[in-house]
Amino acid sequence: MNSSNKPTLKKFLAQFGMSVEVPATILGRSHFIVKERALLSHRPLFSGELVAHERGDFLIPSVDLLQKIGKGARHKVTVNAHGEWLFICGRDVFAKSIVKHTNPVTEDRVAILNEEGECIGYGQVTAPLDTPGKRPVIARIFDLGDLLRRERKSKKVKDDKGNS
Amino acid sequence: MDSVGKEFFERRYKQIGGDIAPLELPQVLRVNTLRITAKELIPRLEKKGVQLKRLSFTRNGFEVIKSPFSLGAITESLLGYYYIQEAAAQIPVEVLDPKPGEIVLDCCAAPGGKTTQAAAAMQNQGTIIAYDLKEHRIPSLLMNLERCGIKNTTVFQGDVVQAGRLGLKFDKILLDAPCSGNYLSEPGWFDKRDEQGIESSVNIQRRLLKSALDFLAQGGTLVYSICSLEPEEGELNMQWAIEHLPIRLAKVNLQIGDSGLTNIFGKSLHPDVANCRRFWPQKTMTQGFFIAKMVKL
Repeated sequence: MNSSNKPTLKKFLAQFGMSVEVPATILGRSHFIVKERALLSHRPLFSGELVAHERGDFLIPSVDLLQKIGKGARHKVTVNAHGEWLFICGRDVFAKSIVKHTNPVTEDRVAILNEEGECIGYGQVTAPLDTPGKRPVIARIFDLGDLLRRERKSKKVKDDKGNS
Repeated sequence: MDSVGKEFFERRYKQIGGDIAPLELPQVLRVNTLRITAKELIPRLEKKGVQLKRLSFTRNGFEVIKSPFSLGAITESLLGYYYIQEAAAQIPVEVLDPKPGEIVLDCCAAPGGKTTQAAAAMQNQGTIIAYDLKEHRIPSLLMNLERCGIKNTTVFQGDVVQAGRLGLKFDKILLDAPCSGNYLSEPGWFDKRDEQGIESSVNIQRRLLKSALDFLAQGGTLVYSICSLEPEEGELNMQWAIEHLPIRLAKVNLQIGDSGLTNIFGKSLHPDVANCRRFWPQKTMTQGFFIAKMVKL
């Protein structure tokens, strides 16, 4: 991917109807809001507030950015506890799990919230949200469980410092 | 005489007033106060069937009495509301007591339990520089910083001896050093450790201590901790530090644990070594642990 095709935060947030400028610095494949700029010349792996990671041609949000999306997204869908559990396990959303929504239509990108109002990921509406039956109505794009799956995928840590 | 195996360690622990007790340690979590208060989190987890009991000797630690599911995979964990962190492992940062605005060095930071705890104590203000040598440990560190909402930390992969190039003097340093571990930390531990391994850990610990002190501001505090019960890595290292490094050992004020030993295998140590704390698992119901607090002269 050449640098002009790099995913940008502005474009990423625009898909949720958000217009936000994030002054991010890229370290490796992650975007940060860096406070300690003098340390950048020493090539840190992480510095300041993590905003997003690049994954191929896409960005995936940090836990903090995900919460901002949950607050600022044009369309939100709240799911019940069972739907929340399935969703963070990587499953799509079914109509029977939905307890509240902002009337998105097919192809809209929606933030998925739990009943506590926390954003647990996002997806794309694939059918009217009141469609009954076995077909999902929102296709999962990203969920919070990605964090664990990412860690498990990375080399299994053999901890030589006990479980600290 | 064999210098390996359970009998070897049992014999040497008895010589210094300890013992081996096969314990099953409780799971313990620490509330991440950057994300939520204990008052908000506890009823929320209770609603899901999780029973917690506050630990008497940590600020934000809770023992898990009962949980119907794995606490590492639910939304509250993924949102960084808590960190599953063994009880003794929560103590070094409490002893270091980092404050908002300070500059802190975490020498061996992965997987990030103590780094995230220090950042919470600092209310995400000031600066933490976190080093870890081992590449395979870095992803867990980064994931935990992200999960816990840490914003005041900069991470480098490498040996902390390289921290000199940053040109910083630190107010506080945490050296949770690589060590031999203890018999509760790993199945089959007794058969994997011997005197040679302990000596090798001691060499690494002394090298790290010496380097870390170079980066500490005069009057600054360094907390040294290990999850090893071996006196060579604990009290005898502190005796070496008193003899070779510009430090004094300050008192570790804790209600848990024993005073550091000042007579080991017939050798008398400096009385200040008693200022350290030693955690025998059968007494503290934690993993084996040793902690010292040094002030740079």
